[in-house]
Amino acid sequence: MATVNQIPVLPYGVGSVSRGWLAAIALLLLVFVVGAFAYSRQFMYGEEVTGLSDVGTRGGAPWGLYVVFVIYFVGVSTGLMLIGVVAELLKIGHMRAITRIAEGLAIISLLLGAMSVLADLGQPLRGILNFFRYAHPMSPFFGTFTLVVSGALFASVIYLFLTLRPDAAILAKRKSGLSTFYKWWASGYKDTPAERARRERSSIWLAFGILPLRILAYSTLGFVFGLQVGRPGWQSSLQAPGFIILAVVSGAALLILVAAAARHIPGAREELSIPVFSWLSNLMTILLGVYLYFLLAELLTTGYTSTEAGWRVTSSLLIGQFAVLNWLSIGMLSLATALGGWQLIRRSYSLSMIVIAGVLVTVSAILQRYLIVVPSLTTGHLLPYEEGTYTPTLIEYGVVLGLLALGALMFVAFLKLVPILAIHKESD
Amino acid sequence: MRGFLTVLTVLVGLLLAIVSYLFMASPLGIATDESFSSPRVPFAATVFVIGVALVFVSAVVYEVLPDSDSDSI
Repeated sequence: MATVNQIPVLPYGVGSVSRGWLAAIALLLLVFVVGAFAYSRQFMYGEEVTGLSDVGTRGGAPWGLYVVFVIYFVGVSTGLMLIGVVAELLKIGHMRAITRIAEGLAIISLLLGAMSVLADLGQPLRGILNFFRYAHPMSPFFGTFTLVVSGALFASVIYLFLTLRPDAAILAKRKSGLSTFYKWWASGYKDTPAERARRERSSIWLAFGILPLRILAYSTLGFVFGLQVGRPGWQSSLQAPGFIILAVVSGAALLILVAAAARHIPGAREELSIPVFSWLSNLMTILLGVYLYFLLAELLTTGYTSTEAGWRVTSSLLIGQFAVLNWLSIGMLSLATALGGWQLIRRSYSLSMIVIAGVLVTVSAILQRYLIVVPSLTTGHLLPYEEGTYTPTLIEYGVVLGLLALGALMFVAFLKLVPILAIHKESD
Repeated sequence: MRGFLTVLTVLVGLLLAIVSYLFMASPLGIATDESFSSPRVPFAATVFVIGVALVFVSAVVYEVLPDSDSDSI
């Protein structure tokens, strides 16, 4: 601790502002303003300006891009939190380097997921009020929104607050404009043996609380689809476990991409080393194999045993209007699995190959969510309706881009307040 | 004192979550009349969220409360 006082600056670019950083902020703000403008049009004119419409007689899909990104953002958040908490809990030495990134991204993704829900509502304020007033415990939405958006978000913020206290105590002693902020965050932490012991104990208990909460919460989002008996293509006992597997896969992929970019932060390259990426790559590859098996099992089951309506959904994925997206997504997932598997077998890892696999998985994870949400709405009718279509409008793309820019802005701000790597090494 | 307050926060949180889910929200089971549609107490979901949040706040109580001589954990 004594040597810490002699270091005059904050580490990993915290608190410092460069021209490149300002340019990035300006660009992200511009995209965010475009998104805010798009949402203002939707707020004023209603969902008529989107590609969303009723199923059946209107031949459309009431859930589209926004719900796709609800599932993506909340899934990524769940995956990141599970990876971060498990790495902390199992004390996987080199993985501690990415826990901070994982925890920050998990909270931001969850906020974006909640905002995507609001974007999907024609009357967001009425939706919020009525949810808290009338939510029904037997509805999967009750679990999804009470546990995911409220419980999990609150638990993640507390987890981050407590894990950062030792670092905040160190940073509060350095002379900077943020020292008052860190003093507040440290909230009296002095790094005594008793405090360290309490930190250790509460970290374990919080992890044991967060793990089941996150799994249960995201599973309820899977149940929103899996329990709908009148919607062929959705009703499946594999939805909830499939959601969890894809959540961890897409969380690992995003973590790979952000950690690879974070290597450019001064001082971060040594800790964000190849073993970190190889661990994430192996996790992603093994779970990708499981997810591909789930996809195959689902396709075979619906292909052999489903009803006429169920077969319409399956055939739209195999040879119909969603075939290109479906095969593109499966192709990218398979290629990512092959890239990861090849490195796993050879025990030789290349960062660029891991990053390529991360990009493939991120894109195909979004496509997978699209293929979960839309085909069953446009083609899975039990009544004799014509096959419908759904094409997102520029307004929807604008809102989603705005949300992505907002997420990036929040993460960049997070990096300027919080060291991206833990500086407190006592518990190593 | 620290241990007592931590356990108290957990118990109050769990109690609020369980009571709001089972007794304040709409009845569980197969709906037989319109009483199954609305919560028995308005904002039962909010009470449930507060309960879950309190369980996690207990970690802050446990870690952030200042030391005193009588603290045993």
